[in-house]
Amino acid sequence: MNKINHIIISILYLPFLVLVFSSCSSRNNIPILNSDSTLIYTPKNTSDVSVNIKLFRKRGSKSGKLIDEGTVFTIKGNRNVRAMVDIEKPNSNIERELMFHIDWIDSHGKSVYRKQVNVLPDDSLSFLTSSISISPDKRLPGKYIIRIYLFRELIAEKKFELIEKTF
Amino acid sequence: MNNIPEGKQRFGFVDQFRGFVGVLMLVGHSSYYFNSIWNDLDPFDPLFSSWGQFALRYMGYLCAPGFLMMAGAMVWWSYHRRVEKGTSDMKARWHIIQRGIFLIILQMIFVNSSWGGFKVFQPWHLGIIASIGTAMILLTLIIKMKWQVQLLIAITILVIHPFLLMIPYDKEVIWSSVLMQTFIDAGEFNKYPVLPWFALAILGSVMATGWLREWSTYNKRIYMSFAIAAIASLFAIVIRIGRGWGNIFTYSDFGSYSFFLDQKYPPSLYISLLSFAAVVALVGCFIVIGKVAPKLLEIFSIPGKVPLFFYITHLAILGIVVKRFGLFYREGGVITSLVGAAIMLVIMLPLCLWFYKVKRSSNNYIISLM
Repeated sequence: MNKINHIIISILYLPFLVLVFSSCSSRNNIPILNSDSTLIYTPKNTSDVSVNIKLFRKRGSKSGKLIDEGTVFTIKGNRNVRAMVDIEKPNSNIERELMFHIDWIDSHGKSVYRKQVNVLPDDSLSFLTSSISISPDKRLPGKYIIRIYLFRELIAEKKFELIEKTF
Repeated sequence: MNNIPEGKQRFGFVDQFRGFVGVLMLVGHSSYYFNSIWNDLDPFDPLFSSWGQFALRYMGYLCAPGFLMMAGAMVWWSYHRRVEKGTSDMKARWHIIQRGIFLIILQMIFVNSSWGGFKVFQPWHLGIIASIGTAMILLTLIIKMKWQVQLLIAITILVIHPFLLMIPYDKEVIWSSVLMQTFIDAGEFNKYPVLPWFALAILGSVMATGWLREWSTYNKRIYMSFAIAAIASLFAIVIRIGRGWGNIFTYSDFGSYSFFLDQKYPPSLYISLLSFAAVVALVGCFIVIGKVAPKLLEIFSIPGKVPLFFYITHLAILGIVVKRFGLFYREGGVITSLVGAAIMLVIMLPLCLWFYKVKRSSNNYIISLM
């Protein structure tokens, strides 16, 4: 009887053990710094999604070019820092919805704005956008971070600085 | 060889498991006070910067279901023991109801304010202790029923709850928020709505029928615990893979950490089932370890014998010292959180031993309710 019990329980536990022993984190722990200062936590599976972050002040209405792209921005009324997050999908046949979070963090480590974007499998979207105001009544000078999460796991981040306007 | 456990050992695993869950909770609370991730972490919509941070947060997911199930088990035991000793049915229920009311009041007048080191009196919201209290009171309505009926009630609640979460309500309207968040949804007023947690308390009561009475040998308790946990895990995995009903957060791949990380506030059906399975499997493990190496888990009995005292005292100490006096408040990371928990454990264990002695020798009504 004990042997039968052992066998039954072992069979019942197999799927759970597979789950537990499968890799939990889909990203490498040590990020790489790319040429435009984005820290990227590369996927363990090379066919998985990865992103790159570009920060800029505005986009040309006709040309679509990114204006004032960089990592230092001057605090000024009615201005924004905008982010364009390029999504790289080496495997374009991903059949599941992709859940992204874009989180803007101030110099005290507090989130100032968070946005969730769900990209559907048949969505042709190749980039995400988000922005925060950098008017003096809303932001203080200091070092800020934008972080991108995929399924709640950090996949990329970029530091930027807000400075006061000098006369 | 006599496989029938002796009286004390029958409940040793309950104390040890409660203590273990208490220690996990201490680690979670230590993280809440010392870990800088909490400057940014939204518990309703959590994002994690590393696997360590995920693991630190996720281990706390076992605490609420663990306590609710153990509370359910103890309600079952307390009621039946008293009735068998000759106490009237109503008196046995009233004893449990008093304790439930005490927990709700304790939440409002002590626990809520202790989070901030008693800087501000904040009675007007609920939490886990009130949820346990309410679940205990509700359990008295069904405690006499057969375990099969109780199981059916618990399953019905868990099955219906995802549909109830679709009820629209205006969070700005106080009465609708209070009503919805007391029973169904989670929010600023209450992170632990009664309904899903009551279901877990019922499941605790159902399991108590086996653990504390029907399964009279160690081996039977162990086999049944692992078998039930495995079946519940399978149901949970099937629901998760379905990606539909019973899920709230989406996930990437089977086995990824987003697979395990569904909504906690309030728990999705998947999380409720997985938590139930984890609690039952761990209790099974504790019974096994208690059999082969009884001394190994003894340390967990210390907080496990006085879990409420452990809860309110460690929270008050952390609230006053770390939050109110600003000592290392949210300045560290994973390691700091673990060190903080270890230091708190060194402080709490002697306090728990002392309080247990006080409780055993005291006739004070309030102390008897702790």
